[in-house]
Amino acid sequence: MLLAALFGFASLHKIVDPVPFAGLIAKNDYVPFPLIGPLSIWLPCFEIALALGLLLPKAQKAALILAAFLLAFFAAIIALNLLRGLEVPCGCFSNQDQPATWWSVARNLLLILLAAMAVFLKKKKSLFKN
Amino acid sequence: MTGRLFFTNSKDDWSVFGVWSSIFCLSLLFFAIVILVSPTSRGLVLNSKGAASSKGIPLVSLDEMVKVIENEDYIIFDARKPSDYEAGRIPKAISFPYESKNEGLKDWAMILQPDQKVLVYCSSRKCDDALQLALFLREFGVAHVELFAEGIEGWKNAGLNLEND
Repeated sequence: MLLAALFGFASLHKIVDPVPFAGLIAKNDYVPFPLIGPLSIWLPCFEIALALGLLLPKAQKAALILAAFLLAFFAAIIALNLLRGLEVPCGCFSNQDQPATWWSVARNLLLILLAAMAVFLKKKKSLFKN
Repeated sequence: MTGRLFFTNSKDDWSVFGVWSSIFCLSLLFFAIVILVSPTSRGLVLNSKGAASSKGIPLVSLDEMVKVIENEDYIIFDARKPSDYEAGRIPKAISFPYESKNEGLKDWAMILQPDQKVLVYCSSRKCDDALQLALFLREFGVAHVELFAEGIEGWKNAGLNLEND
């Protein structure tokens, strides 16, 4: 539920105003220019769809695994930027200018751990039921 | 076992592949809805010019940019890093890096009157700093801010000379 709320909340500001988020993607310099606009709109749509998946009981386990992969991907991007010395805002939950820090990476790792624990607990629950 | 988890539905859980496919298709549906509903998003998908126009910042073409340089009424700001500015800039441009916009504002606040005409550019259409600087200056109160989206790359591609120290 927490992860679903997080992904839903994270996607809201990007859908309402995608232009700053597109700017952040451009600053990261990993995405070809023609794809920046579509990606800046599709990614929040994916986050909302993932949030919905996290709310469906039968899809939860798979959605948690997907969420973990997505969080790992974002953490890797932020870490790479920090190692390159780029001061690019994360754009995770708002369009503010504060650059991402190692705390943003740590936060994502924590959420991955949460997702892993949820998958583990679900597995134990289904084993117990059987 | 990993294959079963990723590709096989069980009694209690759907497969990862199945859920991924559903989420992906749903995200494309949401994407289509957002594009249909939001002109900003449509502009963004089509090109960066759309992004600038949808924020109310007028864009200037290359021909208009050449005329602006001859026009004494305009101040031209280069939003790139100082090192890029020193390596080569559009003639008559002043360095105003977006990364240190607050310091730049302190330096130029005296001449940035509400009716002052300002034009901003950065390295290319891919660079977002010029648009962000334009929006920042407009927030500060400069009413007439324009953007040369093609930037240095467009200037050079047209065979026009850059100025340097």
